[in-house]
Amino acid sequence: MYKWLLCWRYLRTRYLALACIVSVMLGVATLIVVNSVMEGFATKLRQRLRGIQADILVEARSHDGFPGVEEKIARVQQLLGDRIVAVTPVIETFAMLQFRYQHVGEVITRPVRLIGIDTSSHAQTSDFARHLLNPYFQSNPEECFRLLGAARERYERLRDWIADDTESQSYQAPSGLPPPEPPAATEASSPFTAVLGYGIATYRNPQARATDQHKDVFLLVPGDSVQLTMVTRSDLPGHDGTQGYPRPVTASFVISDLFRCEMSEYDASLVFVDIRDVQRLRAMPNRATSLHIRLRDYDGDARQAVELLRQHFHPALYAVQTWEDKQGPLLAAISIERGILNILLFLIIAVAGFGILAIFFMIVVEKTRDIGILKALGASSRGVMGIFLSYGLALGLVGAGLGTVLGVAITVYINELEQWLARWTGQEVFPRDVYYFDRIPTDLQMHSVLLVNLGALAIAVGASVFPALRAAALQPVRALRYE
Amino acid sequence: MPDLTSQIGTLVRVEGLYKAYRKGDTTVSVLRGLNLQVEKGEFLAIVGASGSGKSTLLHLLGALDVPDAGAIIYAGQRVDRLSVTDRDRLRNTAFGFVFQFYHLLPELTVLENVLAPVMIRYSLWQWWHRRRHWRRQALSLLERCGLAARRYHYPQELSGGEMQRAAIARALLTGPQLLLADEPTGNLDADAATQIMHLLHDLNRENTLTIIMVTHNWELAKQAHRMLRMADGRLEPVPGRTVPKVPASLGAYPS
Repeated sequence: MYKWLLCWRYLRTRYLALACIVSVMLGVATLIVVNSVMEGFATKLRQRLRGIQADILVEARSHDGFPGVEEKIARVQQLLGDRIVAVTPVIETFAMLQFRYQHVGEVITRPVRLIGIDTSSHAQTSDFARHLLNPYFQSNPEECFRLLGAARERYERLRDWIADDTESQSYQAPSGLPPPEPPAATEASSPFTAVLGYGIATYRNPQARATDQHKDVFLLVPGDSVQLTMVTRSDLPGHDGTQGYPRPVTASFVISDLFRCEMSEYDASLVFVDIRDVQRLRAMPNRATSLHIRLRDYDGDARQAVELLRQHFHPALYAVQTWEDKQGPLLAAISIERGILNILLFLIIAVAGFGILAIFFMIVVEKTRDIGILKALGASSRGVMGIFLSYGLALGLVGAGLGTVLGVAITVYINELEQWLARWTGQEVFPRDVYYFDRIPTDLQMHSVLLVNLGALAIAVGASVFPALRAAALQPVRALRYE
Repeated sequence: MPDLTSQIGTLVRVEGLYKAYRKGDTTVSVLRGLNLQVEKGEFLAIVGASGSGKSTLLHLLGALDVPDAGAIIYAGQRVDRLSVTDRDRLRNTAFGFVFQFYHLLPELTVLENVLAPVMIRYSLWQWWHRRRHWRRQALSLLERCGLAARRYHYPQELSGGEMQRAAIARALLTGPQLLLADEPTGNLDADAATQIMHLLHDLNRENTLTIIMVTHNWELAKQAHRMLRMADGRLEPVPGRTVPKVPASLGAYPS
């Protein structure tokens, strides 16, 4: 019983031990904060990655896609039944985007990823709609390729202004092919339209300060026109009977809206157009390059669904994978990063452990006489060892407890703290434009907090084993002579 | 009047005790074939120059250390051959220790210090069920030693004499038969020393407690029933005090 009493008294009277508590506390707090922020970033990134990606992708290995879109969709629906929310066909291809920047008079050309989507179903398979800038389109994504309001006005004004020096045809048919039909948009008078990635339409003003509201300069706004050049299906024979090869097609598209998912890689490269427009331009009627599927219960059904689809879509022609498979390397990188960071940070607690070791040795030396007294009064070596082991455990418990409180508090108030630090030091701690996040994302996970606590306790007790053994091995006579 | 029959007989017998300390190549022989017999209820004083091995003998008698050779028989039992655990238990139950430097635990109050032996003996659960009994016991001992008012003080708030009285109360808590005192008055002024000696004498008389006291103070030693001198690693009777002063109740002391 004396173990607990002495342990408690030592805890209350040894101020040296406070150093151990503080070091354990700081280690635990740091680990909790870092883990929460890393988890927050990972979760946010997963959401982002997932946001514009469906759960399962059935992708044709050929750039020419696969024929019979309707039958394929029907097959998927039949295979997966009510496990799916929606299936949508997509054509993904590369294109060159070209536009004249009025202020400079230069023609700017850049490569983009052209995504042809089915407006009626695409928004059901991903968070595409949420990332559109126009709030009307956000709630009505099926209309996102219509020119509305300011965009239409700007388009009509520009069209009348430059009517004389632009070609009357908005697209050119590839040589040797019949001219494609006119655009698919609802109004007959409308041109082809596109939704441009925010990063394509803007650039970051280098003079902008961190606190500025508007740091981006617009190169293009809805209503402006761009030229998109893509290639046709490659198996179209020439009119002279020559073997098929891809031919370039160029068409003019009017921007109907911008798209911003805050993943700079996507924002700077994606251009969305109506799948029917791409089908016409690339001469691939009733074809698509991939099917995007959203499941009702992704975590439960994904594996099984992929297996099922793989049996029905020939692996030589189709790649069936979940979005995680597709983003595998990136997601793996995050988890590896977190693992390494955890190991490094646990070394901090290990340092605290050595602090406990050193301080405990000092306490054992200081308490040599008391240990002798206890043994003279009949305390066993195991009992004496128990004092120091439970003392170590107590220090670990108090340190880990305080560290958990501190860590959770910092995690919860991290954005307020960051702002305060930024104001105090004048340095921006968290540059928002790097990640496009306006708040530092955090995700406090119970099991990681628990794990950190257990680790800290293990280290605290482990560090007190050596001093405790030494105390236990003290000869009572020698200890009593010690003055 | 205490029951006399239980007090007659030998409590401690030591035969041919050897103890040497080794440090590197040098060996210091402290005890060389020491013999001793202590009767129940006796107050024995052992005097000797410092470094003569008085404390070593006391530590061996109290099972704090083991001899190189020889036998220590306590109440008919070989102490020197007991296992570590049994020696721990013996120290906890049968012996009381009083040291020159009091050796109270500075983190505990006087009362807790007195209770230390039983707190060591019991687990938390056992202690909880017996705490009232032992607290009463400890308080009455403190009362007996004149420290009842000081029970919640910490050792460093006490005078030397008070600390020694607290140490004596601690030594007596478990009701030992043998009290081993190592220079109990060595650090005290004359008044406090007299008080302690009175207390020891009273305890010896009232509770028929057997006391072995080590001291280098001849005046105090003379107050004991018998006085032995430590020389050359053995005990010898002190000249001029060959007839031991034996308590009347015990009758003639066997030589």
